[in-house]
Amino acid sequence: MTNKYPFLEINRQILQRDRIPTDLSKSINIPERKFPEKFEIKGRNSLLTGYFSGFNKSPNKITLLKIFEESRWGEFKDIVADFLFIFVNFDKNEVIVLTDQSGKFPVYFSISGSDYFLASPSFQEIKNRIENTSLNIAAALDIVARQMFITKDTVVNEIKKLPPFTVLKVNKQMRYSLHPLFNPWKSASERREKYDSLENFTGDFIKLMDQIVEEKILKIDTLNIGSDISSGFDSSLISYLIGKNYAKPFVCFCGISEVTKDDTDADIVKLFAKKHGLDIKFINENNLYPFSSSEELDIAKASQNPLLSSLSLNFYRTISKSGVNIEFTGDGGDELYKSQRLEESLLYSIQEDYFYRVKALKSGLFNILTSTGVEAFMDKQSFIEKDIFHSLVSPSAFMLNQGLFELLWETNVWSFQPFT
Amino acid sequence: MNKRYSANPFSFIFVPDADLRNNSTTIVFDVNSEEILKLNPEGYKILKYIDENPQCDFDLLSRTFTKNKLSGFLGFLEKHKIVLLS
Repeated sequence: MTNKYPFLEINRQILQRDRIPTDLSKSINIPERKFPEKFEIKGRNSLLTGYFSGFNKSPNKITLLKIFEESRWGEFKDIVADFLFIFVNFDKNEVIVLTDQSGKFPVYFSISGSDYFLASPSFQEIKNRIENTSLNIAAALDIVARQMFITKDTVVNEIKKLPPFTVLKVNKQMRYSLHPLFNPWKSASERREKYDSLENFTGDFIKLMDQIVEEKILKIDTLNIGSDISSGFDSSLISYLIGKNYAKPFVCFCGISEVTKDDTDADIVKLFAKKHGLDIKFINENNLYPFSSSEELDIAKASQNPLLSSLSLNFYRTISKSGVNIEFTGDGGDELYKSQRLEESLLYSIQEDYFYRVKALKSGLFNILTSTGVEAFMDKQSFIEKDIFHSLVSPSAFMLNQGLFELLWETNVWSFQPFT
Repeated sequence: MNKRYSANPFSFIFVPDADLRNNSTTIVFDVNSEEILKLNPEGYKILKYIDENPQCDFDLLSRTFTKNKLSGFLGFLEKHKIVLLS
């Protein structure tokens, strides 16, 4: 089995044998990758494979296998890492998939209508293998509205996606179950001491960000680093901290265009770079507005998050051509500053999601939807029935990562977002 | 002629399970200012009543809810267009 993307394809007959055969080379495809690193370990009755790169802790393969054999997945909450795990228990005829909280490894999966359990970070790869598909209208409307919260649904009814830090179990009967490991209520109720001054808070915040950037740089010392920069605070801070912690030269990439001057003022970026000795490469994005090229639209069509793909494609191709393997970004910064609202968002998530749709209508959708479209868009029952999954990483940062996966995988770049 | 109140469908959503978990509190949305406002259990009950009894007037509402608090609260709902008048 060869495929450029990680892929799992387990036949119903294999799963329903007395014992799953130990040779699963035809069922599991884990391509080599510079980062995160691929690994595989076989136990007496099980197999654990996938990708794992830890930052604050680096448990070895045997420790990882033990965690899975003893179902102690909760231990991963203390490990800052990028990972995708596939665990097969040969005796229990059970398959488990688990990813980290960031969404960098999206996992789409399907059982419906086939004799296979399929799972992959590539939505298109799964879709290509399913004969009959149907449109999930509620999920499609979620994408139109640029959904605010994470659900397990995709635009295709027969394909689901794995929520962050959630164990996906598939049993002998080819039935799946989801077990979230993050307890949002516990996190929200943990009271932290209030800072007595803004200055103390800022000092501690910068110190923490410095520590996170340094920790990540140490982990990938042999790879080439780049960073995303705009004239905003978040990416500038990250670029500055790389310069402070990284001994080798690196380039800061800055997308500029006439229509995004509010977001990125090239003159401010130049002044900032001069002050901190940063090397800037400007990427001219003028020709990407107002319409995407047909190639970009094709890529967008294949993704679950078409809103993100066209500009990002040009950006990451440029980065990749420069030989960069790891791209630091300031993504997740805005969300982090709003994290004190976590408790409120948990209590009233459906309501907030609904009001977000009202804002979308106001911002122009009302003019392009028919009255039936508006009715479907605002159907209260579909909100009440929503199954929302919460994460420590903000949903928007999680979904941004999910949307970027295919681009990053193809351009052989991996992104780091110290804010998340 | 008495004012008649109807709930603005874009300003609220009742979610039975969540509302129960939140002890009959909820948030409502001022569509114009895009402000999110919190309702306590009493406010929740009044808005729910208006939603279930469109075009109800003050007399009808005052049979169920305490009069002195009601007019102030209706003024708040009116101001933020959480209820629409007819």
